[in-house]
Amino acid sequence: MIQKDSWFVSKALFLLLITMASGPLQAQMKPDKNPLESFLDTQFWLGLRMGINYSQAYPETRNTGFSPIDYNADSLRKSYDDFALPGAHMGLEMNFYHNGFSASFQPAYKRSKYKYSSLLEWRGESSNNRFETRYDVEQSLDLIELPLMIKYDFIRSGKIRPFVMVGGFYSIIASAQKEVSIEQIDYANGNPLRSSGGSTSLAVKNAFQNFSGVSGGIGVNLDYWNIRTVFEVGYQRSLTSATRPNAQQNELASLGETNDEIFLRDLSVSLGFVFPFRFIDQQFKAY
Amino acid sequence: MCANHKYYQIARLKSHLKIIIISILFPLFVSCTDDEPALSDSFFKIYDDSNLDVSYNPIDVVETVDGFIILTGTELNNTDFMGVQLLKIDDEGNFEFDLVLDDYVVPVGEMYLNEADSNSYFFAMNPTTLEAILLGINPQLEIEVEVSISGINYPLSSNVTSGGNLLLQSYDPLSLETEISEIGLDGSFIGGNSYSIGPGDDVEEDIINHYLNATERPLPFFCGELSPGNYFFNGFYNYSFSLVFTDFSDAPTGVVQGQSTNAGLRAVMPLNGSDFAVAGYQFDANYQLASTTLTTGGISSSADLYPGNMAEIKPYTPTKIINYNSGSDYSLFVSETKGRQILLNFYASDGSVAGTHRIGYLNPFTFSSVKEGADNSLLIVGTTFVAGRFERISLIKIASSEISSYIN
Repeated sequence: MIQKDSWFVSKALFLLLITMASGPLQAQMKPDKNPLESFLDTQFWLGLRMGINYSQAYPETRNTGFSPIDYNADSLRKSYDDFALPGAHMGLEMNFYHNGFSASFQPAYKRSKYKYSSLLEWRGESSNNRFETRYDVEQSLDLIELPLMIKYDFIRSGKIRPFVMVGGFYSIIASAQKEVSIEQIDYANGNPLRSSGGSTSLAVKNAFQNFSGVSGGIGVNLDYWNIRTVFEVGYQRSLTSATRPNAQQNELASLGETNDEIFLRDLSVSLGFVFPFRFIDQQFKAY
Repeated sequence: MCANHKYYQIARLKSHLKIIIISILFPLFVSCTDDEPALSDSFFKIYDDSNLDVSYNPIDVVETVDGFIILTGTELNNTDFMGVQLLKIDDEGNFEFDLVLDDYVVPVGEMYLNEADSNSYFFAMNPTTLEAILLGINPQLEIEVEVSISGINYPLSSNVTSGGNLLLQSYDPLSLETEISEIGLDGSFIGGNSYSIGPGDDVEEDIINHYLNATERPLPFFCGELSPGNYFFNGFYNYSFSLVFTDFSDAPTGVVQGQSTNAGLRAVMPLNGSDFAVAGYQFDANYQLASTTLTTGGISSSADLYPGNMAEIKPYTPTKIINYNSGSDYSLFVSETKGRQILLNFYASDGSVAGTHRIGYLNPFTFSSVKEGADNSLLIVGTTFVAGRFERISLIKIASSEISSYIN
């Protein structure tokens, strides 16, 4: 269902972006407009962009580390903490501005993090025969992210120019790291005896795959000196799964750990510094 | 700069911009609509039980039309012999339901799936009479065949013949003989014979210990067919644990003698004529021979086969050898390491090691059986220790695409 939805959404997104991108260009075709004036509304910007992000892992399909014989698998469901761990991103920002619209390509190296926990319990004949383990997992994904956004400045003059943006992204998995911490509670002596079951850090890139989705947000351009400072608040939602089908079953299952089918949602705050490109005319100045 | 030139520049700019936007958006568009295919059909399953007093000793696995059946011994703290339990697994490796056979103990492998009636056949033992029981189970784990094999006690190993019957190795504690029998799928006795373990000797205690400590020091009982009418079994014969070749006549046609239970063979797979793939042991040492000639028509000693110790393999390891085809034929030896990993060694037909794979980098694993799946995959059943203490069954399916990556 998600895949079908994503197809329609991505197709609509594609058409929307093409329409938005080509619209201003069509307007440019009007011969009665002063070409130099039109040119002044057109500018390339290039700079650096960085920020922090918080991720939510949305489990579309639940998977369990164990296949239980005598109890319900629902008791093995993982509990996710939403937007709990900070990640970071840094990269380039390339904007092409024209008549209030900007096409913005923002390739970045991004680290997204999320965490979850699960609880397992075994019991014996007597009440003291009881043992629990709690698994706390931090999942870190290193991504090469390729977002393409369309921005619209709803104030086109002055030094403070707020904008809205919408677009899509494609994320390439560069690496993935899973840290599993285990806590054990043994009731054999009558009183709960807590101990660490150790922690394991594993590279799990093969359990993940490239994914894509849509994104939107708001921001403001601050034009002071010969530099533009871009402040953005964005939201991303993946339309394809970040976890690889069938790859969730591996040796981590022996620790009771396996990936659900995960779709990532992401809140980010970014700060960019971009510079205007001067081209065609040496006399042209952005400000 | 003239106005015409600026017009020209802007027109070029527009054209280039369209190309840039479309070329950037196109991969995004494609990526949204084109899902990446699944890596493989492999799975890695562990079947947990909330009862911390129970542990499992899986015997074998078969692939049915709609999934898998695992035959397992089940140990409870308050029982001596392993109970008999079957798990129905779906084709993705998920547990569906189980069948516990309370009346019987010590299930014996191998389990044989008869495609003609879709039943899975195996032997177990009546704990009261000690008689062998033939059980045939359909894919829904309903008992279709339940026959007591009169006069045959202490079932030790079984296999299937080329004619579709079952071979059963057993022990007769009264006549002190190892028996090899061909049994029909209806439980009828077709043929067989029994051979003395050595006058005055008694191995019943060893066999009881084998039943009771199956996961610690199992004895490598096995049997099979060399060619129609010619069989072999590995068991007690003439004061030693030996590989015995027989055509069901009163005397064996050939014997590869072990040294009591301290040295002998753990598994063999006939290759061609008298050539075999052999896994053997010499006290705590283990060895694997991808191809060697055994004396099927005389008496020889397993000690003469010993080429040196494979130090990685643990003493008393369960071992199985099967043929696996991945473009060409390989002899696959599966055993346990001292580090509690499952070790897969692929040998080419020239005897060279073609590939190795290990299972168990995070948790200790034990090995019970290996089968080739219908899709040229490998099915490996064993156990792992959940939370470091609860022994639970694991079923690992390795797709052929992954196996080929292990082989040079």
